Amino acid sequence: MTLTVAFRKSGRTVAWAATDSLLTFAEENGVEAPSSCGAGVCGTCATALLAGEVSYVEDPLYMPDPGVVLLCCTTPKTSVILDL
Amino acid sequence: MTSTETVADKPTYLKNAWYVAGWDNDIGHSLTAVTILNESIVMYRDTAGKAVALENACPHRKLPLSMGRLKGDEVECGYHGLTFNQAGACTRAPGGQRVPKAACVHSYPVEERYGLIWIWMGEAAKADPAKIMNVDHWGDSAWGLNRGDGMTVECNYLYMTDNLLDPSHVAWVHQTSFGNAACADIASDTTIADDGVIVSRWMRDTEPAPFYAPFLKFRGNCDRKQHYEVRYPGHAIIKAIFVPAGSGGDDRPLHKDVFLMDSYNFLTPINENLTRYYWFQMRNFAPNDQAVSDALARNVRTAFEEDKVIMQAVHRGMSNKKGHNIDLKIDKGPLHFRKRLAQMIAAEKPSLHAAE
Ligand code: FES
Ligand code: FES
Ligand SMILES: [Fe+2]
Repeated sequence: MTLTVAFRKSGRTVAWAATDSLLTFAEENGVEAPSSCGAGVCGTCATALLAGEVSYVEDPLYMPDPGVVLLCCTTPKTSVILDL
Repeated sequence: MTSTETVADKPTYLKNAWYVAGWDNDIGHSLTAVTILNESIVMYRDTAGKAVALENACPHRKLPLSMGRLKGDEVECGYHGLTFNQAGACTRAPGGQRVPKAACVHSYPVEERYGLIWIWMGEAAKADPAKIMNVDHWGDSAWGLNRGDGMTVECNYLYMTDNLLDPSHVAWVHQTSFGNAACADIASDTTIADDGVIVSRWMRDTEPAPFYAPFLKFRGNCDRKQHYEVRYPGHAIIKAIFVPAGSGGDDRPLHKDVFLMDSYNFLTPINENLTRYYWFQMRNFAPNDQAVSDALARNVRTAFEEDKVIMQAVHRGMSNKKGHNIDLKIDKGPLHFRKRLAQMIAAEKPSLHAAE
């Protein structure tokens, strides 16, 4: 089964290819995403998850509010739509 | 409130302006911390010799970058090694992490001219080197230069702009140098220009003041002009003209024995209570005479020390005053300067003053 990642603001949908995080994946696909620590401690990469589910590959310092994900420490569990 | 009070909750410095950050030999290939307009700045020369000025606070935990290390062209933070290039961009992050996008420090535009390093304190896009004050006769082989000096004065810079627009004070502050009794009772003219204020006066048929007498090519009394000009935000040109008595006047050609000295004075506020003062003088005689340059440099320094004592005491007096202070006719030029400068500051983008 192929997972897809849709970037709503950029209007693009891309097939997920294994990388360490959605943050790296967004950057590799030329989608601007805010970030600082890259390690789940600063919250800079918090982005609304409009559809789908993610899994955390690393426990963040603070779990974001429901509907928001930290791109730097997540990968998609299902196909997702991100507000990016 | 009187016109000479500084108001703490109002922005106090013009940001979109060039200021003197130091003499060219004050900055070398090492990290030097300076404070200008209450902003902490780290300066250095890169390996090509170009002067660099960066915000002196690491974006991680705000350690002054001046406490770190200069690595070639870049500054490495002394705490965790975030590294910044001449443009203030982060080039290296610790612990194998990606370089954070928000990791950058402000890089101030810098220029070198007249042996001085100039720094632009406002919006970088507006930094135009053509706006650096022009020095007449610079490089003219008929003119001499005594490369000046600097001092830190414990007062608000506006007490210094007051002083540099006030030719009258030489009669009382500089009795053994720039002034003498002849200077006491002659009124001045005030000219309000677009880029500053000029206060000037001719003194007729007077004895030359002690500072100038040894350098005059003629004997006897003189006609003397004092031209005191300060341009925004705090750059003064003080011109002295001495000609034989009876030959002076703005409408008359300069006498062949004329003595001309243009004194350039640059004020750089460190903060509201401290000002860095730089100066040099150009003269129309003895162009390559080092002994003359040295004597002038010494005498100028002595006279400026006289100003320093007064201005520091004025700052303290005005900061702690118990009753009203008054303004006099001689304050016309200085107060016009303060008013226009305050208007220029008020017209700047509020974001430039957010940190004050
Ligand atoms: S970049 Fe810091 S939490 Fe994701
Ligand atoms: S304080 Fe500068 S890298 Fe940590
Ligand atoms: Fe003076």
